[in-house]
Amino acid sequence: MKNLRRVLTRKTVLAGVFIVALFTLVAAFAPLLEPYPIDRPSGAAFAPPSAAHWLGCDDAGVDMLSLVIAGAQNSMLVGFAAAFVAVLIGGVLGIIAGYKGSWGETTVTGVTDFFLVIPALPLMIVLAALFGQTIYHIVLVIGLLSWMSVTYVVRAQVHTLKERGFVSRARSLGAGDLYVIRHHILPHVAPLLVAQTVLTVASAVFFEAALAFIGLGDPSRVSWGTIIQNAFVHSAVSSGAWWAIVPPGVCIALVVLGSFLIGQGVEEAMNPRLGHAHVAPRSFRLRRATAEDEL
Amino acid sequence: MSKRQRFILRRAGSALVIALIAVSFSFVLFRALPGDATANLSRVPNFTKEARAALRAQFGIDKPLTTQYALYLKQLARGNLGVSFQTQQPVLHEVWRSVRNTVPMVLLGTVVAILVGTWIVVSAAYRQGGARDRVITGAAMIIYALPVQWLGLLLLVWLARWLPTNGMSDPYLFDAGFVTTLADRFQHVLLPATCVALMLFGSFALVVRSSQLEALGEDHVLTARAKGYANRRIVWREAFRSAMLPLVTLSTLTLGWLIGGVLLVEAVFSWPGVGLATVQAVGARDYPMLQGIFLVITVSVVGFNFLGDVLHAVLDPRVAE
Repeated sequence: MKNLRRVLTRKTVLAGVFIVALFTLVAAFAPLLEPYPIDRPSGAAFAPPSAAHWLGCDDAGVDMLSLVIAGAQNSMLVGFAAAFVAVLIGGVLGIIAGYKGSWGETTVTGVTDFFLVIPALPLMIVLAALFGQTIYHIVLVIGLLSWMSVTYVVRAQVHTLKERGFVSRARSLGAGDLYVIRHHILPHVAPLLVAQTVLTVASAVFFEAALAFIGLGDPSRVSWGTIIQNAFVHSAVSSGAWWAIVPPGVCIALVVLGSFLIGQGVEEAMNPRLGHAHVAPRSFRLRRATAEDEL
Repeated sequence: MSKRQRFILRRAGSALVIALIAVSFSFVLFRALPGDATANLSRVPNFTKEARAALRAQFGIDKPLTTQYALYLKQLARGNLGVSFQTQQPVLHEVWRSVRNTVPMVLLGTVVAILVGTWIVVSAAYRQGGARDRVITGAAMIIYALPVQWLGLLLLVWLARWLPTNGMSDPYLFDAGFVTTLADRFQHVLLPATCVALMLFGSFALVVRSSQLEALGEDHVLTARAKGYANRRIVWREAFRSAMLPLVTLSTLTLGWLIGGVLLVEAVFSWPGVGLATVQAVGARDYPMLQGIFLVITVSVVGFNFLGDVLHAVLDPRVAE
């Protein structure tokens, strides 16, 4: 709890939480917020931004603001669902590797290394092309290829936890592995899992947009990725209709930035030494020198 | 055998194992999944069971999976990646042609990103937390967060009036002199290469900055300052030289990754390289082509990873210990 308060009092983290929460809310209440229907035109083709259409219209005359709001729903859905899959897999594997040691760890790190080397986007493209492109497939494809960094982060944390006094005390009192994991490991890993979830949401939104641009998005749903692809395919560029391209990209960038800020803040709060960039120049990470003033 | 040789040998071994697993993985993905290429043909009118059996025999998918796997490895060892559905040409030939187009564009973008990015970041990092440093770090973070394809589209919207927007050369340029052809190529490569350079700048800037900051904190830099050397010499000759190591490794890894990483850039600018080939293969459901591209991308990543390890071991002997 003390940690949580320390995280939430940082300005950068607050900004990140605000951005991500805003887009999550927009996604949750998308149908109520859309000013115009997204399945039929409400203005002229590529109508520029005006009082009636704040963000203009796309190639079919559909209101861009409504499209972006509807897109938020599917992009954030893919983001959160894929992040859930990834963090579930990564968390379980990380705890196994960090807690079990020996062959369990060797196997898990071997598999993780393999998937880290294989280029993610090309493999996602292959999988999406082979398995089909409904939103569920996209979630699975992204989630199944995003768990690797979670595994490493969790494993390292579990490693240090295992050496702590309370774990060996619980064990000497006869606590089993599952008990120790549930009562002593998980509570300490939980904030990391939250940070990793947020970071994975960002990369999943990113990957969804990339897949959609290749033509592997769910054709029956609007997402930020499919809006960008639609603008590209229907020559928004040669029409000079920048308003049909800019909004979805800004949304993606904001979600990604917001997640960075949250993830970085949680990491720093859990490992405060990282904050002192000028005291510990060897920490090989980008840290602001003033970070400890905000702690 | 020295420690370094043993280290390199070990890395080579693990690179080979990973490549072999990737090759088998791709076999499982494309062949061993339920349903084969002929399954959907049953919807075609007048399609008989005999015709299907003949097709399966022709493509060798009636044999047991183990036999198919052995055949696949054998053909792969001879460089046979199958035949593209779209062009009826050998996949290896097609992939090689697109790799040849991708490499110059990627190299140009990478070199620009490394040179310009390093210069900007290193000169700004000297005053950590100063206005320039903050602006550049912020810009790098923002560029890093932007979807590449979107960045490419914005470049198109802004610059389409002045520069060619797609392809590699002007199709109406016949029998032009060497200089004209070269100028035409350069104009075409400018936009995609800029996009690659911007994309890389985002991630490079953050790494270069942190290693330069670390280097500035080293004792020998303090000594140089105490000796009264000029700032430029301290920044470049003292600090940057020790900050270069991560940059070298990162550049090697990035080059391997880029063959597949520029996928979206090539799709935006219709640059006829590996990325555009992927998009077309996906559109036409050209599985042999897709598999060939996946294998080439994976092998390039694994290969450059190995090269990065070797370079690192050569430049920093401590790694092999």
